[in-house]
Amino acid sequence: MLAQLIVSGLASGSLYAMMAIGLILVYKTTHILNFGYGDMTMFSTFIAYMLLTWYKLPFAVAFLGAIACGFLLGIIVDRGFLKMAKNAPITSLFIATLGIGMILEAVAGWVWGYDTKPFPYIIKGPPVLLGSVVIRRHDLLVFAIAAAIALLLFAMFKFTDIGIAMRATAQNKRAARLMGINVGQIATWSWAIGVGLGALAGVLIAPIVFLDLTRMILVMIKAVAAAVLGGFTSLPGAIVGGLLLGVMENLTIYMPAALAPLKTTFVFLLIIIVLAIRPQGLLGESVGRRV
Amino acid sequence: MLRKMKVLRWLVVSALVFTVAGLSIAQQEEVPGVTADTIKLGSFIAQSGAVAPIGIPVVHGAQTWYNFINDQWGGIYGRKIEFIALDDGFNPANTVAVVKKLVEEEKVFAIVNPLGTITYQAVFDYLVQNGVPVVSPHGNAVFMCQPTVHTAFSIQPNNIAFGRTLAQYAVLKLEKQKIGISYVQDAFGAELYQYVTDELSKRGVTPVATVSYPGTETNFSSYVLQLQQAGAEAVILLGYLADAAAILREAETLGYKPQWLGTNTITPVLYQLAGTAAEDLIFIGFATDPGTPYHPEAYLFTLLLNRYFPGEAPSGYSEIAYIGAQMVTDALSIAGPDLTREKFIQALETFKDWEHGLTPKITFSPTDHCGIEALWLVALRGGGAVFLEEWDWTQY
Repeated sequence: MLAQLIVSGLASGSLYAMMAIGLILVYKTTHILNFGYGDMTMFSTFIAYMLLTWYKLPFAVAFLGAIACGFLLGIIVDRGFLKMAKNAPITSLFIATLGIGMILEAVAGWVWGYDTKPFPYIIKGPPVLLGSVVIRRHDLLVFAIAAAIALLLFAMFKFTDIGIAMRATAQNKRAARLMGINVGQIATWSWAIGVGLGALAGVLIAPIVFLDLTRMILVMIKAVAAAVLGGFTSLPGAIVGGLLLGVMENLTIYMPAALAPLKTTFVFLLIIIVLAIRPQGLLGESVGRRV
Repeated sequence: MLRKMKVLRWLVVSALVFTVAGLSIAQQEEVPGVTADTIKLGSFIAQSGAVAPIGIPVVHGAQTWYNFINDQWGGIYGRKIEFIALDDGFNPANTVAVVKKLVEEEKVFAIVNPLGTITYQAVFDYLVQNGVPVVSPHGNAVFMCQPTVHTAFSIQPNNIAFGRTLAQYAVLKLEKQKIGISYVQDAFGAELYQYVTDELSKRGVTPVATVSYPGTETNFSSYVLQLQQAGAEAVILLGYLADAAAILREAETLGYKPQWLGTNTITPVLYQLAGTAAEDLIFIGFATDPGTPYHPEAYLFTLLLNRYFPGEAPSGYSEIAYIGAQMVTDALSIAGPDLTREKFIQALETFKDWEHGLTPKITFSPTDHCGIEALWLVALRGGGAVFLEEWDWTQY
């Protein structure tokens, strides 16, 4: 049972990790925590749902459609909304993203309705048996995609011009501008890729948790917890944090039955303890303070 | 002189007519929401936000029957029904404001077909204190009819009926002894859990596993594993449709197939979410499936709904609201032309084996304002719902 709990926890954790990656990408370069991320993911996933069920298009088209929607949404959010409020304090921009999320939620309810919708697995078929442990094929795919994305992003940040520019912008915006980097354009790229990754995550998450207006927000809350646990600026940290959170959730089964209603609370308590010991999270960069 | 007498006589008669009419109007004004040609009924029903998919069909179902009564019969004793359903967004704070508006500004005669447990709970005391009759609330909570409150009447079965029926059916009919329970951590789940476990205890059965999860849960794997490891042969699901779907799919992945039992939150829509994992699940219903072929009352409901709301698919939500509206108009009819709130309440208390062909029979009395007691056990089979049997938990 323990092995099954760990494997199932890793499967759930990989979903949290997928969500966390897009969130961190935007945060790393703009220092904005995207509170509307869950709604943006939901909206993009509904685009895939619409292409699949209304227009009967192949899954690949729906999949790419969702990512394209996320990408465009990221550009619109940055160029259309946040640029207008560029002089506002950063905390106000957090709230602006929340507002954008609420607008998207209202539009989604209006267009696609409020009831929970089914969403197909990317790969179907009987689950895979690893000894006595059972795992869905879909979960294996999610593991693989999460790992591939983390590697791709690592390579992008390390070896490409845009990645290096993103890192430079994240470290010191003014210095980056003086070095000739178009900081505004870098922010737009970050938003586009970050929300696009959210859309990709949404298409992978929806078959497990279904699709409605609120479920992606519930996953996002866990993604934020995973990101905090892993270190908010670290992409590998997001993966590790997500997987660890998924496993920790499942292992709370061993808590006394009388404490079962506190299960979720207990997981967050553990995160606080980790942060008390290691404030930068498991793999985050240590925070230097000038005195 | 004769002319003067005639004018005087005319003035006296006119004065008498106006006085009688004035007295009559004054008398009618004493009954809130009732005029010579209108009965104003109010409701609080979420028509926006997450609960709108339930609330909008509820409004349409009730409105369908009120429209039909107005169009076909000119209302009740010449008074047309005016149904004012305000949107509270399923937010109890809004419900308080909306209900005060209905009672104090609109001066409605009664609150009918309101939706929700937490919303109703927020205004329950206010409505009781103001003597406003409440009929056909859509919710399962026990407080809606127990203890009996003079002005409050239910139509749906409550969680006592659901909880005890599920436990009795699992033990007495399905003869399961190793029973697991899964419940959502909210007032709905906790109340049902209380009555299921109490009934099991009466039958000498202790659940082999109980799992509870927060309403925000998205990962059900550990709960299902716990039920499987405990060897539960039957699992009673006390949660919402999407939770049940996630649990069933997780169990299917693990190759775990107990006898699943669910409450009235389960509908054949479960098939869309859970696919084949939903097959053979037994759940509780209390109204005829509106799609039932060759059923005259279901047919009439579908016909009328399409007349007033073209293109709207009939659902359990619109149907129970329609039945609730039938209950209201029947009571208004029995109350007679000189309508008062007290006569309306007394009329409801005369209901004995009341039904219009879509629900089990309902009996009210001065000491019992609970609606449906006998429930219908239904199984999901072959992509649809199959009626198994009627189960009156009070008989066991």
